[in-house]
Amino acid sequence: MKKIDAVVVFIEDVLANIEAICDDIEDSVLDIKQFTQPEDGVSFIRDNLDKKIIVVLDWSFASGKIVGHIILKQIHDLSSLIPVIIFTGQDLDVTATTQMYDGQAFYCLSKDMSTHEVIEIIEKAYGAICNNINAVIERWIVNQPDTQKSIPYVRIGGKEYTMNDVLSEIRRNTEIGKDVSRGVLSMTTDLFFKQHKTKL
Amino acid sequence: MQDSIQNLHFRFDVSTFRLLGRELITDRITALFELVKNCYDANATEVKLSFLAVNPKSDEGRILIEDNGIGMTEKDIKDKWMVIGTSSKRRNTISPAPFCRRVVGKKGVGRFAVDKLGAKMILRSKQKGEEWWNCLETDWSKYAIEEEQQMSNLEEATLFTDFDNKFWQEPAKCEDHGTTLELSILDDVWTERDIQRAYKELTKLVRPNRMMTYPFQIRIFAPQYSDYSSKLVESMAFSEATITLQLDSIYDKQKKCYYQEEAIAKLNNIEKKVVPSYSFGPISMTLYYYDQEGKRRFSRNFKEDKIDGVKVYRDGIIATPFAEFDDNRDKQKDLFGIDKRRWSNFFDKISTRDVIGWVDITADGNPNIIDATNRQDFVTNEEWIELRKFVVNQLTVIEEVLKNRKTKKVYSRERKLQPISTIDAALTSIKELSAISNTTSEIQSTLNSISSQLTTAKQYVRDALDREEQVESAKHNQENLMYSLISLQSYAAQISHIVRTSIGMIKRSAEFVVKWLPLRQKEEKCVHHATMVYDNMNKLSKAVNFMLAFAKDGENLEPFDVSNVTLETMKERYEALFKHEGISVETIVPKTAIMLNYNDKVYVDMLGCLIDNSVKALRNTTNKKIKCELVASNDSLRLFFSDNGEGVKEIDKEHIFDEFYTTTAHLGGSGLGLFMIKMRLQAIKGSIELVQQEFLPTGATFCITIPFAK
Repeated sequence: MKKIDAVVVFIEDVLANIEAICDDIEDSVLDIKQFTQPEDGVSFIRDNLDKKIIVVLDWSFASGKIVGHIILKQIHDLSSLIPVIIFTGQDLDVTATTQMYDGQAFYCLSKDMSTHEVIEIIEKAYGAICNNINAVIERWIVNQPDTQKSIPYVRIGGKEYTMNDVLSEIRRNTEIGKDVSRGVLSMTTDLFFKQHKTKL
Repeated sequence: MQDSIQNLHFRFDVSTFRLLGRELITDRITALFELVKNCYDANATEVKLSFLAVNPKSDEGRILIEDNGIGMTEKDIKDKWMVIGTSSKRRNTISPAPFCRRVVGKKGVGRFAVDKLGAKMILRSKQKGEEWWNCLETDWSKYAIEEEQQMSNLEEATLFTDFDNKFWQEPAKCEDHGTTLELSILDDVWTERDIQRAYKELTKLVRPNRMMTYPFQIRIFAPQYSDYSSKLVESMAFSEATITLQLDSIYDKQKKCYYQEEAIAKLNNIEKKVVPSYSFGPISMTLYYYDQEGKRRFSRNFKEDKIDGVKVYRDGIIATPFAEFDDNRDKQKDLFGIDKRRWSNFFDKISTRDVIGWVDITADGNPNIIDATNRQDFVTNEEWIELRKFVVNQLTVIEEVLKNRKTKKVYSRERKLQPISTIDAALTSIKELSAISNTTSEIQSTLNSISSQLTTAKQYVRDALDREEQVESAKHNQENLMYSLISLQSYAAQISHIVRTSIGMIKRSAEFVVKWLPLRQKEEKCVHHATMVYDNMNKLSKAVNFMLAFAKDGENLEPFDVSNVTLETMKERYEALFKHEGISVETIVPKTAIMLNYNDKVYVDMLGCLIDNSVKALRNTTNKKIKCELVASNDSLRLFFSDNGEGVKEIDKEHIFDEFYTTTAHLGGSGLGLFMIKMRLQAIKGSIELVQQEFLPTGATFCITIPFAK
């Protein structure tokens, strides 16, 4: 497995289900966190939004008690940039489920999948974090000095925004957040190509 | 030798205490009942039953039975209490005046029932006017020790009558009277459900106070249970009533006037409405109506009492003694003219023999309800006439509701048969017409043809009705089938989930071993995952076995006596296991057979699983107990299964019925037992739940509900 600079958060009531996966990837990821109580998992994510996080979420906790969609929404409300991999023994409509909450569910994995297949999806999720423009902006803001984050930084549509405001708009995937991403992307593209333009 | 005649006397072996106590009275609730019966016979008006520190079992545990009866003198204790089989109650079947109760204890051995409850008893008793409490201590444990010793050494056998029982006197207030039994070294734990059972049994002993000149009240005091802080035992007579109606008056503080509740019939139910107070003033009224079955139960339990109409009480004292005077019920006065109404529509009218009731009036609130000077009636004035009318109106409401309930049952059938009745009527008319001699043959022929067509039509209607019934029955069956299919679908989904999850775990653990073992890395974990493969294969195997067993649940469905099977399972099948594990078992089943149309093997399987769980939960407990109680109601059977083991942790409570959820994996628990019970019960519309534990401080109680309907 490639080295992954992210915390993999497992939210799963029967830890034996993920034991082999965790034992396999323990040396290849930044950290592994296991939560049998969903609310504890969500709480951890809330406190560690500055880290790169990939979530593997059990869809149905106790038989008949499906809490996956509730947790998915709670994570989406915290940040739309965290990829959530759903891990389920049920027959879910994969497409419909992954499209929930603006595609927050990154992938739907069946519980009879091999560790190898799970690792592939975790790597893809990591790739998405690294290559997604929103995630790049997020990390850029997170890495700025704290003193800078709370003072007005940009003016968009006649209103001033601090870096933290921008971060929040991006994480919540609002129109303002999308505008910022589009603006950064188009300006970066322009600068990049101008900078690397071949002298004729 | 022939001339030397001797007289020989019977003697009592020390084991007599056991033969008269625990072996004669096998159930502790009956033992308690026997002791409370003695209070009734002693003219007590109040009995207080206290259960102190009774759960869990401890040295502080006490049961107190206190009454305010006539009590016993020193002589009574020596000549009656201490004499086995005393005949005093057989000689005097009526308790002392003025109570004159018909005594209920007659054998003179009821007092030995205390042995069933506790090993030590202190009796304190005195009659009014005496200066001392007479106290007697009996310690059955001494008798038991002697009995044990005599098993090995019969040389110096102490007899039952040789034991000393300590007697002393304590100063008392002259006016005090009554008897207190204090029982300690209790035999059993008393859970809330045990006290509930005792309560239910005692309701049979208590009669409606208003039916007795000298009331008999029982209060239960069990401070460990919130429902029994000082609970008055209500008479069973009320719970057995078919319809109960309680009407009160309401005082409006702002308007400073009274309003009166009265009954109105709403189809099958009685509702209340509030109206301005009547001329007779504010009253309260209680009516209990009994149908045939209710009356049968009433007379079975209250042999001396009769269901005998509505009486008037003024400020709590009966205002109508004249109405009670005659022993011949037919000659008793019918104050409200309830029976006179029965000249018409006899079967639809309630009589004084169907209802017990009380009208409560007060001297201040109802000044115009006046006793007649001859004390034989009330003065016939406008207020009394209106009160009579009011009472009868309330009975009419009950009658209307009863009629509605009856009509509902027959209405649909009658309505369906109406077209056939109409055709029958037409056929009769045709027959009559044909009988007229001067009809022409042409008319006769037409009538015959109509008659024939009507007969055919009648057959069509009958066929259509039959078909309708068939369709309804098929629909009902289809609904049941649909339920079964839904149940099966949900079952299939659950099983798929189990299989998929297990396969996943096995696959990933095996993959781990395959990947890391050749690299000679993570070797310890490789061993662990190899073990996981093995464990999960076992779980899968169990799941498959369960699937096969489940597939056979529907086979061998036949009625069996669930009481018997429960007793057999608890007392015979698992006897050796209980003995080996040192578990004391209490099984309580209804005295009558309870027939269940189900697979008895499945039922025994479920019990076995609960037993298995309890044995594991009890492994670290010293005084191990399992209690199994069957309770049957009209529509379902409930099984309460309790142990005093380690209990279920709060965090585990919502998961214990999940598949593969186990807290005893190290003891071989697969996490399938309770899940299987749940699935099996769901398939017959039953359920299993974890309820408030019976034993304190730790333990668990499961309640299984099986409906009788399917």
